[in-house]
Amino acid sequence: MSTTTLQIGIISFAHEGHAASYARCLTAIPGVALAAIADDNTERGQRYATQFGTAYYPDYHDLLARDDIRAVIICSENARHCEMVLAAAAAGKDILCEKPLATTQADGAAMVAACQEHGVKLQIAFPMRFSPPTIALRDAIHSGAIGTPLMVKATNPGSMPPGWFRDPTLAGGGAAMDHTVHVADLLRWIFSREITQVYAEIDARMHPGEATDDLGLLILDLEGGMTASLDASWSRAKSWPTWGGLTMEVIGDKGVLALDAFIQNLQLYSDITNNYRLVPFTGGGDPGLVQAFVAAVRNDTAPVVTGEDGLKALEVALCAYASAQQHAPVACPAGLLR
Amino acid sequence: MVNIAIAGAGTMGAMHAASCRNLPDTTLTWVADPLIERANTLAATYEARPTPDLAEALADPTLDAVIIAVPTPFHRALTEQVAAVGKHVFCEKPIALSIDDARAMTAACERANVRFMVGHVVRFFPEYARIKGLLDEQAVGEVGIVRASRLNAYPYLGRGWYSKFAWSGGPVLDMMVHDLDTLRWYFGEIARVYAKGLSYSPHQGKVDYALASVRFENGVVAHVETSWAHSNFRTAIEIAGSGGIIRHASEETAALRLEQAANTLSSDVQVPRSPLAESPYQTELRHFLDRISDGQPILTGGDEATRSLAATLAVLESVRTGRVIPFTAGWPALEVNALVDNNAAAS
Repeated sequence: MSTTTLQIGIISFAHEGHAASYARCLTAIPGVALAAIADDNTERGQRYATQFGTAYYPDYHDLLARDDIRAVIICSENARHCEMVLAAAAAGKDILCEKPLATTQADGAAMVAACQEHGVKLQIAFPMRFSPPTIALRDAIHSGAIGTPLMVKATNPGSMPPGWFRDPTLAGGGAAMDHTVHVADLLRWIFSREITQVYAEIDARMHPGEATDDLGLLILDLEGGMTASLDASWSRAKSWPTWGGLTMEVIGDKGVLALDAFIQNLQLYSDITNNYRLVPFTGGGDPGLVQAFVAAVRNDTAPVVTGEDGLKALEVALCAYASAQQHAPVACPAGLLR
Repeated sequence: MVNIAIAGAGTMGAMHAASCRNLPDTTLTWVADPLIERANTLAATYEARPTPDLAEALADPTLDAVIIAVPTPFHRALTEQVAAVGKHVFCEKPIALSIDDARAMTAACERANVRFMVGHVVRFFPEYARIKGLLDEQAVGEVGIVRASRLNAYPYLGRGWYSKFAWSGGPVLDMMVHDLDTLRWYFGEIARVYAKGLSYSPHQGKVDYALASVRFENGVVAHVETSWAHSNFRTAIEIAGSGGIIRHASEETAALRLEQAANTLSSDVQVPRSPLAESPYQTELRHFLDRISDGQPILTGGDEATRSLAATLAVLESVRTGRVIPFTAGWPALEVNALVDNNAAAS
């Protein structure tokens, strides 16, 4: 193995779909190796270690103890991001952390501070910033295609994921936690404005027997008078032909731009599996996300999506829960501290 | 580092120039076009050297490969000229206007021991490549009937030579060749074709359109539609089999749409409707360069392109004569060789 090979580890496949995708993206980059997988779920960890032909550790501290590993990707349950980021930072590893950054503002702030203190990079996994249609939307807005942007209608619905996602103590919330942060980050990135106020309706109505919220409707104020609505729900039925999607319609004083980021699919009607489903024909944002992290580590440059970005998006989600409790809009981020 | 010359500074030449800039270890060093102003403009954009005479570029010992993006009647002469000096050839589709020319081009590249690729770019569009993957996985079982469609507006303006039938072959040779090539990739050799259309009707020159029935040796039946009668470009394909259906329509997968208020319409605003991480033209050129580097087979080499041309000429022959054109081992069994002009019909 070449001495210049960049060794990266993955800690936990709890966020299973994303972790597996990041692993595939990593191994597709020349000169990058998936050095090890750590997972306290032995069956899951060993299965992926075998699939990717790499080392397996039940205890992530053993992965962090390896000096040849320069960086880690953390895909654990949301509430466990904090302890792992703190440990990885202390071990001097650069970090790509799954979203949301954390489940509390205090945890998130501590993670950002720890990475600064130890001089390691902290990038948050917001792959939508790397989705070619989303990049084209941002470019079109910046080129003045619709004049001055005024309002945004956004949706990020999905189907309810299994397992720990349904346990608010591990996930930090339900649909509104899971799906607010992507669009909150896109709004901040596309328009270069902070979200200043959050109103939200949040409830659990579509999945009987589940303790966690499955619908979220947010109305957001941005700096400079822009406003946006966001549907952050686990509202896609089991018979829906794909996992969900992300749309943004931006209304400007000279036109409208409509993004449907996950529409680049083939339609597959199968009598073999007796269902109708959509089959993506593009790679989405994950390859760009992982390439950007690798570039930041290799070139010792600042990550393009920072820990602060992760914290800002988390604050919007936490404000949404505060607003839903109060039936009133709350200032962001001050509202979550009340 | 691979040094590339582009012959023909038109629409496709500019497209390939952009790919050269984006691909690593690839430099566009020459742009050749007898219309020297066009060569100057494109060369200036990409910091290449312009020349009115391709021979000047071919005399450059550092040149590795030439992209031929000139009107189809000139493909053979340029391919032979480039191969003769030992440079690799990437030629736009269709490969030629006759099977004889196409075979001569392929043979010239083989004799000169240079690589030869024809730009059947649809095989490199991610949606059509993903369909190939699903078919290889038997996702819809045994395929029965296929419908493929490729529509555009009549090329009155800006694409001068396309509207000259004797040069372009109309929409059948310009566009249907894509679907016939892609369907051959999916399903193998053709058994017979029967087609109707306007290419030899008095309407040609203002509107052109064709419908073809294509039967494959493996039993698959395909309906292929091509048009210069619509208002904007679009494609669609549906593949029905014993286990299900695969569908794609470009109109339904536009990830980005721009609507402008009527009083503020700005024609200079361009928004890509289906943004991709890499343009299919760049994927195609990357394939060419990778195969030069590793010596592995090219997906759309001379023989493949010649067979797809033969299928397309057979469709036109059926349109012209009203006959069914049978095939033997992938080649039209009746006398089909060169594009037959439609002057008689149009006059």
